[in-house]
Amino acid sequence: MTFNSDYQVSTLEPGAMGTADNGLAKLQTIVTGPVAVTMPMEQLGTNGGGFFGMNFAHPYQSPTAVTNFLACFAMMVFPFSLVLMYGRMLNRL
Amino acid sequence: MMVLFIGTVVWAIYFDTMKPNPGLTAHPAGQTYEVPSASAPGGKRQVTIPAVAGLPVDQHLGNLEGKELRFGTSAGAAWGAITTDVTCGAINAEQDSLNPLAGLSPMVGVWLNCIFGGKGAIDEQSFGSHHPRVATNLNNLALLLKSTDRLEEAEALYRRALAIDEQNFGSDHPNVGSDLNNLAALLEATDRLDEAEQLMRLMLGVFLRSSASTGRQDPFLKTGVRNYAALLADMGRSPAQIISRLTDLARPFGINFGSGALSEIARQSQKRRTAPWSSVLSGYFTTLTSPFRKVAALLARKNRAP
Repeated sequence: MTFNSDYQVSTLEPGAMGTADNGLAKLQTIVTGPVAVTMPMEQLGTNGGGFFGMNFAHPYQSPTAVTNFLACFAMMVFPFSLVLMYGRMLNRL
Repeated sequence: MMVLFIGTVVWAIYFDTMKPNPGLTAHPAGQTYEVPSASAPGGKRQVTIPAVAGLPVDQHLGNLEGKELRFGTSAGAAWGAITTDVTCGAINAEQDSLNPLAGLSPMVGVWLNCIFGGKGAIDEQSFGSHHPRVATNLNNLALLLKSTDRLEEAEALYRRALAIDEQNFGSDHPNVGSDLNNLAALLEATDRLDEAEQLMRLMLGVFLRSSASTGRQDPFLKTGVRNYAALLADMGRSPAQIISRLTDLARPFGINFGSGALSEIARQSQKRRTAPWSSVLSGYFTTLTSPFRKVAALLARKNRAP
């Protein structure tokens, strides 16, 4: 996790991001930020939305299939368990 | 069901990650790049990205436009269904990218807006069962039960809410007054007028006391007086009796309702005693339909039994 807003990196392939007016290869801007701490909050609290524009399709927000499943589970665990909680409150579980 | 669910999850993770989409790593021919490296001899190191056959996107997974490309379609579709069902709104694959039939599930989720949830009543877990907020929730839940004709359960919850508030605030708090009012209204609806009358008198006492101590009329006092007058009218008291009862109750606290308010109360209770033709008609309707309602209640109770 980082608090940097972005990183300027040079690409493996020279000039993959195009060349600037002075003939030098442009740098690639990679947007970063404190993603990891916001994900549990927004998923468990079913706030929704995402840190990046493409939400959970972004590799920094959900790097592997396991994290994808975890995020999926986190957003449904509270609403689903509420059904059971109401049953318990009404003694109808 | 659980086994089925876990099996599906494992299947989705296995197929979607073990066979990642070639479109992500695709390259028409193997390419080698020089990368600066401190550990390698000469300060440079070669990185080779191999060629991948079949470009640019492998269509064996189906319609992929707007989809989450790394984990495949099943993860995206499951995500879409869940995120709309629990009103989360985090996005993996675009809902718009789903085929018509698959898109129906998120669409229904959006229409209903809340298939699972209603998280306002989570207070009992967070605050413990004797917190005032729990009492508020119990009151709300009891109101719901009352309006769905489950009166015994509603009564139990009202009594619990009253006990919690009395324990927390003492018997003079306005919250206790509201609880007494709710319980009394339920007793009135289930034809236990005497007990309801006792509770209403306690409730009026609470609001009269708070009005007297603050020097300003409690906002609920008016409602309380109206409810009490209506109850007395239902018990067959005349408007004059009701007025004298109210003034008797208010006198020790030095509160005067005012002649305007009292005459209004008298008018309302007279109206309640001499029922207009509409309520006579609705009375006939209630009598006529009561057998049906009894059968419906019986069936509902039967279906609810564990």
